[in-house]
Amino acid sequence: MRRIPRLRRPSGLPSTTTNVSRTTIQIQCRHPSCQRQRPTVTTFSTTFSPPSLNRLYSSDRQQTPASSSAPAQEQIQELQPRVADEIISAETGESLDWADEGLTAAREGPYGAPPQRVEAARENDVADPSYLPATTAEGLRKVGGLADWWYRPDNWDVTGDFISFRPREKVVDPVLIEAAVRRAVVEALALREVGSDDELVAVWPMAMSKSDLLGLLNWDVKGTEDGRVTLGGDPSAVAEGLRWKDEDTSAGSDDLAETLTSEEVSALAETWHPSWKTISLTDPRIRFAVTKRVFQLTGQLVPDHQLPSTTTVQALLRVLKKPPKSATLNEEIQKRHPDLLELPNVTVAAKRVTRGDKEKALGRFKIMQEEFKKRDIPGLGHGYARKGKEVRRLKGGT
Amino acid sequence: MTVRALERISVGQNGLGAFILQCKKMDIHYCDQSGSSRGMNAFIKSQLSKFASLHPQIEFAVSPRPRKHPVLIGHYINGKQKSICVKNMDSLQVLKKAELLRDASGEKTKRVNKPITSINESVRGVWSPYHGKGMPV
Repeated sequence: MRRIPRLRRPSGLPSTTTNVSRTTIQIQCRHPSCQRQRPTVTTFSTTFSPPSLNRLYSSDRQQTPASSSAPAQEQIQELQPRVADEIISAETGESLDWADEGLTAAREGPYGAPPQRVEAARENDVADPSYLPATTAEGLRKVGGLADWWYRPDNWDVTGDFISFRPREKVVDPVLIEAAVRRAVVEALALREVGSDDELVAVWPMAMSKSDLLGLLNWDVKGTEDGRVTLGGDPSAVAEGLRWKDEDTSAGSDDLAETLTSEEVSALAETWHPSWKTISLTDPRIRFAVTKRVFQLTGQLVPDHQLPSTTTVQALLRVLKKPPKSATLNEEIQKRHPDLLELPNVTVAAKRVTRGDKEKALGRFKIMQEEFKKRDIPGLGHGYARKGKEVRRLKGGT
Repeated sequence: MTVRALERISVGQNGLGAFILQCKKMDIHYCDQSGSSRGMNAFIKSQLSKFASLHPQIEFAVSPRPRKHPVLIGHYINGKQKSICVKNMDSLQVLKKAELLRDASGEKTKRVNKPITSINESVRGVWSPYHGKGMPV
């Protein structure tokens, strides 16, 4: 049986995406008062520095660090005219969007890091002898900026690159849950039979072709009264497929919910020997492996307080197949008590019935609104009325 | 054209003519979170459908009232209403209270110390001192 693990091992965000370099530009002061004191500079040059040596503030003693690497030098050559254009456009009041200028850094995974920091030339480096740097921020124009960098949808992906152990969507179909439990039980028992008990607590790859999966579910699994289990298939192939291989990390997932339909599984389930549900899960390692695998495949987690009582597959299925509790009584009535809704003399409200609702039901609210209009009172219903002064005062209002 | 007698406006004699249930509407309020509504919620889920189908002449309005104790409010055809707080009661106790509201007339509870009350006139008539033989004192 061929098994193709194709998913990456679940992990958090890679640390490389968090290395964010920033771009700031210091430009000459354009305030009229500054202009009076200092003549306008006509030439302009930019200098790049590696992120580790970036200056976060200006100082006279500090010299502009020289670029250390050849690629950074190339980037400077490339970006200089762009930055100059940026500042010119700032002077003329045009758009200052970095994205418009194409000044975006390379995208690493789902996150696009901001472009490199660009700094204005030092006073000593400027050729113009009449140049005087601004000493206050007053009158300086802001160019670019990264304030809304992460608000732009182009710079990051909503889904991210995080691969969780739990699937994104919970499987709630009881038939598919049963299939997942059978798969988990067979896999755990196959590992036990092969003798690789250490693998029981490891991460198992999820991907499996549909034919392989159908073949696995079709094994003639039987539980005997004395506690022994016959798997009815080749456990070594299954155990081999459960070994995680880091080299097969291409995208794509064939999890159980996508590959199998409930019709297929229910047709298959009829052929299963009923004794498979009597298989014992009293061994904590097997129980852990099975519940972990079911959680990975379906997102259904057995609550801790129910773990000791799940001693057989039947008990596990009972816990997993139990529909979740409804949040509100109204939801429960809608789902499970349609007979109450069908009665003509019963009305069930989803939310609290307010005074306004009662007036509207009577048709009196329209009349009230007309009367309000005559008296020049806002006819917005009781929702317009403010809550008590005390409440506002307690919340910090005046 | 025949002469027709003046028609008398009918007097309600409940139980003798058509029986009209006095309770016309019942408001059922519950809370989703509070424990005092547990019995009420069970009543709504398990017993209300049967109770409502047995009394099609009563309108049942089920609505949540968050952070409040559960209440049954009966509305009567005389315009009055009667409310019962059913906090911490189980569903059977709530059912009893619903039956109580159903059977109520909507009138204020009065002390009744006569064995028989009737709206019919007495067959003996009203006693008058000017009629009959009189009694010598």
